[in-house]
Amino acid sequence: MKAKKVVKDQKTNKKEKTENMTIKAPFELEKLSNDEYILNMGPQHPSTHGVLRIILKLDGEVVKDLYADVGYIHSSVEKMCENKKYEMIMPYTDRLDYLSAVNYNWAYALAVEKLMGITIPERAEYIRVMLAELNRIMSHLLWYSAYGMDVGALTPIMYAFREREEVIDMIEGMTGGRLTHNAFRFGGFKNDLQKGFMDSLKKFIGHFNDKIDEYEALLINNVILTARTKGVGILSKETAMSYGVTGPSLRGSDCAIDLRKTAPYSIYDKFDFKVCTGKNGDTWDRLKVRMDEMRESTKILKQAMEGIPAGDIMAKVPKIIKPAPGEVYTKVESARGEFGVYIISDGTDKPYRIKFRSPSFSNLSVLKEIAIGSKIADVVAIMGSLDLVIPEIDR
Amino acid sequence: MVELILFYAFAGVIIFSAMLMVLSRNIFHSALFLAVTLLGVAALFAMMGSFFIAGIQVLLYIGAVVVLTIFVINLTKQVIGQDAPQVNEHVIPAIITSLLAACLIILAVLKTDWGTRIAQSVAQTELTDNTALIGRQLLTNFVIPFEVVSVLLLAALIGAIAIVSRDKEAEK
Amino acid sequence: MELIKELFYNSGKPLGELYTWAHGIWAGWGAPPFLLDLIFQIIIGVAVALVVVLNALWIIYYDRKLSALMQIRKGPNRVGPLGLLQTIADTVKLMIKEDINPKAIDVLSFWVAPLIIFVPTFAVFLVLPFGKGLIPADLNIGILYVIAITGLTVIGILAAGWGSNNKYSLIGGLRSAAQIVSYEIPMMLVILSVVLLSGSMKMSDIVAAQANYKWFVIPQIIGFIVFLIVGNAEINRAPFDLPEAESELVAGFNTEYSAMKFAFFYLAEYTNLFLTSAIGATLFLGGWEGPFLPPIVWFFIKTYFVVTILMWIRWTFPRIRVDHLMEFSWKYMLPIALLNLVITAIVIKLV
Repeated sequence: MKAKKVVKDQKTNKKEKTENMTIKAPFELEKLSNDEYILNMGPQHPSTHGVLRIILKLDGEVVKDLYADVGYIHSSVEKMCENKKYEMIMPYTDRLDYLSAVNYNWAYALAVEKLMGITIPERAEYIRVMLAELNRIMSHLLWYSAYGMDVGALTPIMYAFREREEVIDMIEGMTGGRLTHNAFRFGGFKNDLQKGFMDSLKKFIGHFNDKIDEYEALLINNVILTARTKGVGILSKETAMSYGVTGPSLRGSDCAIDLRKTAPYSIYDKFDFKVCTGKNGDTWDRLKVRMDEMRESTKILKQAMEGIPAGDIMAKVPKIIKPAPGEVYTKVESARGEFGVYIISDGTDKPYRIKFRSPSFSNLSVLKEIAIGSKIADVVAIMGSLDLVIPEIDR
Repeated sequence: MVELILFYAFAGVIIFSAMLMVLSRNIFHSALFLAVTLLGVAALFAMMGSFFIAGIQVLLYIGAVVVLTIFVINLTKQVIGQDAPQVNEHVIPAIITSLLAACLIILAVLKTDWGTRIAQSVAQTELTDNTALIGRQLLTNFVIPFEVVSVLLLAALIGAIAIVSRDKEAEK
Repeated sequence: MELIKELFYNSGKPLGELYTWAHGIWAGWGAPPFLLDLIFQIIIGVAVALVVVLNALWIIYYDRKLSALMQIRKGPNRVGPLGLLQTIADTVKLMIKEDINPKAIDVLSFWVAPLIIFVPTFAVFLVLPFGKGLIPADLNIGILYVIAITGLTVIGILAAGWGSNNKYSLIGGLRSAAQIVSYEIPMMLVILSVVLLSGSMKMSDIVAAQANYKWFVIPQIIGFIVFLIVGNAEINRAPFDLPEAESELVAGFNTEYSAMKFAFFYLAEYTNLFLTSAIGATLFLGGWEGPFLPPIVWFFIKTYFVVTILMWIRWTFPRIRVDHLMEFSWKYMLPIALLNLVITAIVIKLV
């Protein structure tokens, strides 16, 4: 009789334990007041843009607390990289952020080149810059269309995709890939520019600025959108810095940090462009910064197109990549912010350890700071303005 | 003939759904049955030719009262799957109230001179548009009750706002 | 030939003749007359149902084509000529899909909600003046009937939100109720201004009051604009589609619905769009009145003109936020509508 009871107790204990484990939130359900309830946004939700789960504590429509539950598509990229040869790692960096893959390739290539001490021919640098800027435009265009969907405007996506298609076609001509290119090689670039690329680029640069005006008229300057985003989700400069927010999300908070300007890599110091910043750090400023950045990218593209020299596209690189023991950290300005690669080499053909510093992870962590006290619809608008890419968060 | 059948049909619906409303253990279902009851009453009004009253019945009682009731039910913590108790501790007051109400209705039914009433209502049906009639009556013979009701509603509104603002102050 | 022409241009007369003729024959057989009335009413009901369904099929196709035009796409163009049969294919697909009932639903509310939403929508067609004398039931409270009956759909949306036992649905239902109740008030005030001008709530009288091209859109231009905005909000379409805000609430109150039940929501949404436009056309654009073409054609032309405006709005704007929505109704729409009503009353008294 007694033994039975003990068994029963154990059973109930076990049950309680598993029940507790399913609630992965820092705030417990018992602590909810009478007006509050928990809403799971995700893992499958139209506006998390991937497998991200945001647990919201709500009072009516007002967000009282939130917790971002990441890791649903964790695929241990960093660990996998330890078992791959250096040249085999390049495609993995594509998959981190499939929307601006080039910058991720670039950071990795820069790291290995720094370890090996390779200098890159100038033509290859120009091609890299052009590809990266095209990729940045492409990523921002996708962000623009997705943001339109987030705030309920269904038409902007079609207009942005019209130009995005043009950009992707150009990139496809350059690299053979549309989203994940894997076109960088240690010491240069995979192939030289295709015939006709310059013409299509010239055509694109010629009309793209007008198209950006059109996008702004269509969505960014819309009355409803400005009412929804101005003064909403204000991210102060200090908070942004302390959370390690980078990229357009940081620059929206009146903080002119752009690695292309502040810590120039490659040949970015040769180009004349502006670091776009916002004033108030609210959601609308972050949107505006991205729109302005597309204009600046076009400017860089124009200069690169005019200044590209003839010459080699590959430096002399040993057949087998075997860097000397040591460690290196390189960072680039991706479309989302600072992407860093940290490599420890032990002298073999595989890295001893690789660490990726991904911008979206830090950018997501600030969501809690800026979204509490706003409405459900604001959470979506704010999250969209941070421009998150989930595989890059989970890695 | 048709009217008789329709009348009994609607009366059946009204009584049946009213009973379901009281007997249902699910508070949301009660609200839905209340809507059906009121719709049935509106249908009876329409059969009597007072379309305006029927329309107002649907608009106010269902479109406003029942909707607000359901709204409040929705605002409570999820009570889905929970059976509301049908009996509470106020049994004796409830019995007294019900008996009094029943007496009132029975008295009203017995005291009414149905013959002349029906003749009157038939005569009224002849009027093509009784909306204008109601409007005139409200602003001439019944202007004082009409205004009193408006003031009452206004007082209720202000009272609601006062209660809400007091809660807000307490929160601060 | 003459008869067909009259049937189109002055439908009331031949239909009335048909009615008396049928009654004569019926009386000859010695059958009770109310049975024939019943048969006539059933025929009218079936005809209205046919109009509802066919119109919904067309309006969905039209929405998709128009949105495609605005979004530099092609739109449906595979099923049938110009994709005309696409909606039918979609409907058939929805019919044969599995009807999923989640475990934790409240069965009665979950099942009855699509019906509560659809039936009032259907019932409003009874008072639409499609043409001269072509009105299924010319009630003397016409427009009041419309307001009263459409108000019932809120219960369906709330029942759907509550019965699904899903927080997204619940929020959607609550938003919808708050939205429809708040926007109903400016809507009523605007309609009241029109009723003041026409002096009757009967739909045929409202059309008659606008005869000889004295359309109410001219004296009531503010009213018409308010009507368009408020009507758009009442039928939950973008930018007022908060109850089913996809990016916030997944699908709002119809998140858990599938197959035919979902089709009812969809059908009701588009039928409501048509209804609001039809009422707008009747109240402000002179109903079926127009030169050369038969009245019924004019009715549909005007209705689809309003439909196009509403669709244009829908495919252009982002979604408004829930508190802005309430503010917009109470702080802007209501005072404007009230002012419009007062000015209308004063002008009528003076003139």
